[in-house]
Amino acid sequence: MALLDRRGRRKAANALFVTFCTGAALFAIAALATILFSLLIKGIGGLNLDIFTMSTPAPESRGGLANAIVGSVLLCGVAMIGAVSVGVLAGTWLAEFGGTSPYANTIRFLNDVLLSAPSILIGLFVYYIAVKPLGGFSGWAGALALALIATPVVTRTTEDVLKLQARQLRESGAALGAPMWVTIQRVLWRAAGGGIITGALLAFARISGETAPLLFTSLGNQFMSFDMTKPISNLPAIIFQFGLSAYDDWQRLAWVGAMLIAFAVLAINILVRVLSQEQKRS
Amino acid sequence: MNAATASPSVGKRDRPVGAAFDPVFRVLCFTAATLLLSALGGIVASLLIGGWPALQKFGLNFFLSSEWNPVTDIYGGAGPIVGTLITAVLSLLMALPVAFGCAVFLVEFCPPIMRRPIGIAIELLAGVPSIVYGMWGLFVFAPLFSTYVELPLITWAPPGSIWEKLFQGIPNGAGILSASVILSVMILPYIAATLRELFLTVPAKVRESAYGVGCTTMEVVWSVTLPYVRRSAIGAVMLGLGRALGETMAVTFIIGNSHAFPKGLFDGGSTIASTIANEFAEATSDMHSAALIALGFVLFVITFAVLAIARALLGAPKHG
Amino acid sequence: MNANTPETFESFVEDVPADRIKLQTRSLNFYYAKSKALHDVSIPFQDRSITALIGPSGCGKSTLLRALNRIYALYPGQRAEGEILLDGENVLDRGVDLALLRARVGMVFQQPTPFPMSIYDNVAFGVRLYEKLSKADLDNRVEESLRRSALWNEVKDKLSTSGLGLSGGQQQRLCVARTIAVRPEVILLDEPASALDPISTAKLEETLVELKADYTIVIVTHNLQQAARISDHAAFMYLGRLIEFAATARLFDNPRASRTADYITGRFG
Repeated sequence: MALLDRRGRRKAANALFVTFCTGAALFAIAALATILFSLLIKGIGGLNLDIFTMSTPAPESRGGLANAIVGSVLLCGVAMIGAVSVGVLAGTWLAEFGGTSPYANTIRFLNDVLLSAPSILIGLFVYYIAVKPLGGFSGWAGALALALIATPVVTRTTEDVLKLQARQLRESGAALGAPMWVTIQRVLWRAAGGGIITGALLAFARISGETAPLLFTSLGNQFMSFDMTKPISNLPAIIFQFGLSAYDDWQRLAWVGAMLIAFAVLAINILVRVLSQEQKRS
Repeated sequence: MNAATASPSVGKRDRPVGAAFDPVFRVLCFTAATLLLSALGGIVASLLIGGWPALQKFGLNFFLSSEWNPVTDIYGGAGPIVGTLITAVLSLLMALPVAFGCAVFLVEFCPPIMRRPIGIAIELLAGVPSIVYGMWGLFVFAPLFSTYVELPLITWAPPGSIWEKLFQGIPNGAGILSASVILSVMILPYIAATLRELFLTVPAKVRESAYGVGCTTMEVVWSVTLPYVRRSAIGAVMLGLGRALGETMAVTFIIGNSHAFPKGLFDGGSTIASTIANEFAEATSDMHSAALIALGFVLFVITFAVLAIARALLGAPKHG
Repeated sequence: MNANTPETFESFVEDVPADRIKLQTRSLNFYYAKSKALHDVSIPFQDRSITALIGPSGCGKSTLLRALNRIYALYPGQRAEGEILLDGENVLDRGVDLALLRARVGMVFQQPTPFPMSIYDNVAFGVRLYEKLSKADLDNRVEESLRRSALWNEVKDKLSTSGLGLSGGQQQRLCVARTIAVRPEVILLDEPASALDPISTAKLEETLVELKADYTIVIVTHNLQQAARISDHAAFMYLGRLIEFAATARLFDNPRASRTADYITGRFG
């Protein structure tokens, strides 16, 4: 009855615990593997040149995802330009000017709230300020919604990496008689550049898969369009529409889209981690 | 002045290039930061204003009634509200032990070479877009869930027992429970990552001294690590809860989209986010839109509260 | 140290010829928020010479140095009262342009802080802010500054590589070059050698001694030998007060204050 003595029991309990924890980690990895695997299985068959050259088809006709891919890139690109400009400046204010004033702390808190606010609510908000008053769905509205999701990410990382820079780096700039903004722009942003790019890439990855806020801002478009004042097609919305449809060929396209978007997003995520490790090394 | 004879340029200097831009730059940065504040203010205001007609018309019934009828223009949000809370809590209950296990594994057991790849793999779960979870959930997960979980459970449940009530619903794989399962996979990486970071804040000395007196790993985790990070760990959990509450697309795919009060775990339901996603673009009347936006406002209030608590707990000293 | 016993602080300050005072403080008090870090410090700094500030940690020597170019003004809550006269002009006056002040009073820090840019751009950074030089003139200025900081021979072939790739000692001399390229009148150094190995330290000291032909140099150091080796005057500070200021040789051989004697003989600090 060795199992019943105290030491044996403790060991057995610990073995169970180790098994559970290892199992949990295996489960998580298995979940990722299963998802990626089924995406490949369901998506790779539909992958052909048409996907990248033709626009989304009517049911039961030939077509691709070109307009959705282009639309997504366009929306995310415009959103990122806005998010990086506002986010870097806001993060800079928090790190360099705001200090621990109540106003700065409030903004920090609200930025965190915005960071994890349900994206669909951001869509509703943008609908109210950019769709309803301007009389229609538009690419601009979609980009604005995505920018609102990306900005807090950029703000947060910018503040964090700026705060990691040595205090003496700031002082060195000032000690040469440089105006503060020159020190910030030429020295601090440069020193923190890698981190800021990391944050921006993560934000980009996040918004490129966002669907909810686009449903009633950018809507969608059956055709290739670059006109930001009109609805613009985008991958996530197409996946939503086609995936829940009753047509086999639409569903097949939805799987291809889901596969493309998932692997693109994961590639960015991995890239970011490789980049940030390189930085740590140098 | 004689000290500087070597420097012809010393003496009357002009102010440095760009000196005048300093205040402008400051204002720019300040404006950007304030934009964030106004964005959040704008969200609250637009939800409140947009939803007001519905809140005003239906009053308390908006929260109590589950009658959601665009035809008669009567809207009670109890179905989606309860659906949101149930799926969030269920998913948290499922995700938490697994996330905890993952975090402990990475910190305590994982061979150092594997730590990074496994850590990244778990983090990548958070990177998979919500809509992909939705597709996967509806077309891959749901059929399996129906065959291997729902049907056997329904068959097994003894008539008249609480189980029979719990397992009510159409066993088609879409419903409250399957949505919660998918949600739990989605929030798992967030909780695991935060817990892992928290565990790493426990000073090595503290843990080593516990190992030193002969504790097993399990005892170290339960009696040293966990108490040390207790407070922030609850914060991490709340953060996960916040995610689950607002998650939209995945849930929209798989929850079954019924506005009625869910009768059982396998029954179809809806969450606030899925209701808005499904109906807002095609809202039939002004009151319909207002009701949807009012639901959005309720969702905002709930997530805001959860996030505020999470932040208060996480921001506090790491132990105590 | 018992804070309750009132201690008396007698200051022994040797005179410097009035026409050779480049910079001086008069009754300087300094505050970090509510705590007072400098008490009534009056000290002259002679032109074209090196003044060393010594004293145990927390004595206020760095605080004094950081007051001289008002670098403390980056931080809200820190403030100085009294007078700091640069060529007879009070730099604590409201209207003083801080950027211009700092161009005249340069500073080198404890940790080398090369900017994340090329060696050339590091040195040219400050120059470009103040002067519009032709390419050739700027090249000359960069070369001259690097030569004077004894770095030229080591970096002349890799001016376009990152300043971050240099060794610690080279980085610190790069910071000196960057500072003198702006052609300041005073150079402040805050324990510039504390992060360096002995050989790099020796090179840096050599550089400083050469630079004093043209500049007024104030150096904070915790290394008494270093102070003795390179400085012309030395000031001993203690608990935020100036205890003794004198020609370095005098201060070390024949201190007048007993605290100075205790410190330099290693009885405390």
